[in-house]
Amino acid sequence: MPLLCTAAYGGLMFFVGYVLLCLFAGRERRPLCEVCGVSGLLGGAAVPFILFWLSLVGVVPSRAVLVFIFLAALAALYPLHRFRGIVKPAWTATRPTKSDWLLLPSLALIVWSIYTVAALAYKYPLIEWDAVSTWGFKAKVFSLTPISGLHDFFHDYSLNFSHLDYPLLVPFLTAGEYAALGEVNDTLGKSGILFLYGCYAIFIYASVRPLLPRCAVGAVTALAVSAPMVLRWAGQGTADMPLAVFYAGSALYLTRWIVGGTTGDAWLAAFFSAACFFTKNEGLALAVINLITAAAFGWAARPRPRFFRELGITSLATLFLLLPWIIFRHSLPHIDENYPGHLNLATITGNLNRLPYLLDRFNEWMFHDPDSNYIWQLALGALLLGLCTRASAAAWVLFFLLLAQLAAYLLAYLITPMPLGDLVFVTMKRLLLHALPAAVLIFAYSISKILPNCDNAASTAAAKS
Amino acid sequence: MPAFLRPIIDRFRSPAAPASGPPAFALLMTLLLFAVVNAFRHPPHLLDVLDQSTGGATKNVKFVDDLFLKLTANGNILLRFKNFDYSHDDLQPRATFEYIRASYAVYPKRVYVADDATLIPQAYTGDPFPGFDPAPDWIDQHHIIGLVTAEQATNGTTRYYEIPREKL
Repeated sequence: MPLLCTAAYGGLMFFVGYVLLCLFAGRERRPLCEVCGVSGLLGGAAVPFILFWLSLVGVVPSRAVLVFIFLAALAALYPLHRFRGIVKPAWTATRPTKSDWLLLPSLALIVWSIYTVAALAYKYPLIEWDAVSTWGFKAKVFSLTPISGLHDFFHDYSLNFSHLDYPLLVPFLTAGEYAALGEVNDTLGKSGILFLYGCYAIFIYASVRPLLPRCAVGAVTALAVSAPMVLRWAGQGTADMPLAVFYAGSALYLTRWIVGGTTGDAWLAAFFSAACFFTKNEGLALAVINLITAAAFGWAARPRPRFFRELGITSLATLFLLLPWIIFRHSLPHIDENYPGHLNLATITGNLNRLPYLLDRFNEWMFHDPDSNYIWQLALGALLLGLCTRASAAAWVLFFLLLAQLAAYLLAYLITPMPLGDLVFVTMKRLLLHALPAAVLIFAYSISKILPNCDNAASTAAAKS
Repeated sequence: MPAFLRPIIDRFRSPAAPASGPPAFALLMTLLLFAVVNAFRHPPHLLDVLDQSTGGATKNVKFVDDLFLKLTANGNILLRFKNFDYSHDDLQPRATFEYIRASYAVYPKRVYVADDATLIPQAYTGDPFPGFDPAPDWIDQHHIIGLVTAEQATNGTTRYYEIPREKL
C-alpha cells in the first residue's frame, strides 16, 4: 500500500507537470524522453507550489487535496487541448549503430546509482542534520497544521535550528508525500526527492541527446547521476538535489532560448528559476543570475525586441508566481542568517582577507577531489578544446552562468556571519553539487563540436545550431 | 591552435569519423571508467560520513525517537544537557542533533530548552543552550510534565533521568 501511494503521488506530479508543459509549450513536438523528464521536474515543483498556496488559506495537505489537484489538472487539459494544443511526444529513435552497445554499461551504472540512492534513502529515517532540522521538521509541521495557523511557530526563536525563513518547496514536496501515505513517515517521505532524482537522469539524457551520439549520451548521463557527491546527497531528504535539478532545467532552457529556442523554452526557464527561488536561499541568487544572463546575452539574440518582450513577460509571470512566498517571507523574522542584511560594501571589503582561503577550498574541492566524477576538469577541458575549434555559443552561455553562480557563492562566504571554516566544511560540497549540472551541460555542448553525432542527421543539425 | 593538436582535432571534426571510431570509443570508455571507479568507491562509506556529521548520533536515532515519544506521552518536557564538554568535537553536534531529532519526533508535543524568545544559535562549537530556569507560570502555560536531563558520563555514554512536574 505505501508503495502504491508513493507511485500515485509520483504519477500526480508527472501529470501536473505534463499539463504545465502543454501550457508553456503547446503544439510543440518534443522528444519523448524530454517530455518524460521535464514533466516530472515541472510537477515536482508545481505540486509543492499549489500545496503552499492552499496552506496559506488554511488547507492542510491530504489525499482529498491531492485528488482535487489531479482533477483540476485534468480539467485544465481540455481547454489547453482545444485552444492551445498539447505537447506531442516525438519518437526520435534512429537505427542502431555499432557503438550502441556502449549504452549498456552506462545504463547499468545509471540503474545502479538510482538503486544506491534509493537503498540509502529507504534504509534509514531522516538522519542528515539539515534534512531533519530544516526540511523534515517543517514538512511534519505543515502536514499537521496549515501555515495560516502557525504564527507562533514561525516566531519561536528556540526553533531557530529549523531556519524558519527558509524557502518551503521541499517541506511541501514531503508534506504531499505524507498526505499520499496518510501518515508521517520520514523514511518514505524522501520519495518525492527520489522522484526528482530519477527524472533528473531522464532529463540529462534528453538534454544531451540532440547533441551527441546515443552511446556518448549514455556515458554523460552516467557521469552526471553517479558522481559520489550526488549519491551522497540525493537520498538524504535535503533540498540540495532538488535545487540542482531545477537549476539544471533553468540553465538548459535559458541557454536554448538565448541561442535561438522557442517561447516555450523561455517559459520553462522562467518556471524553473521560480522553483529554484522557492527551494533554497541560494535559488534567489540563481534566479537573479538567470535574469542578468538573459538580459546580457539578449543583446546578441535574434529579433531583439521579441526576445526582450518575452523576457519581460516571463519575468513578470515569475514574480507573480512567487509573490505569495515573497509576501509571506517578508512577514517572518530574519533571526540568524540574514545574508541580504550583510550584503554591503563595508562587510565585503572588511572580509576580503577570507578570499585566499576560499579560493583554496574551491580549488581543492573542484579539482582535487574525485567526488564530482572529474566533471569540472572534463567541462573545462572540453571548453578549451572547443575554443581551439568552433566554440559553441551555448557552451559559453552556460560557462557564464557557472562562473556567476560560483561568484555568488564566493560572495556569500565573504559576508557570512557564521564561523567560516565550519561553514565551508559543512556546505561547500553541497554548493558545488548545485553547480554540477551546468558543468555537465558545458561538457556536452563543447564536445558536441568535436564528436560528430553520426546516428542522427537531425540531431547533428540541432547541434550545429 | 597549436600545430601538434591539429591532426587530433581534425580527426575529431572530420564528418567521416564515425562515433564508433577509435577516438570516440576511447573518450567514452575513459568517461565511463571515471564514473564507475568513483561511483563504486563512495557509498560503502556513506553512513560513516553521515555519522560523523552528527557526532555519532545517527546510530541512536531510533533510541532518541522512542525515548522522547515515551517521555512526552502526556505533555511537553524541558530538556537540559549536563556535563557536556562542548570543546570536544563530537559532543556539540551530538547534543544539538538530539535536541533537533527529539523536537522532530515528538511534534506537535514540544521539547523545550529555552523559551520562545531565546535564540538557539546555529553554532558548530561551544554551548548553544542557555541556562533556562522557567517560572511556575511558564511551566503551567506550556503544559510541562517534567524536566529531562541528558548527562554525559565519564565513560562517554549519555544517561537520561526525569524529574516529574510535581517535584520541580
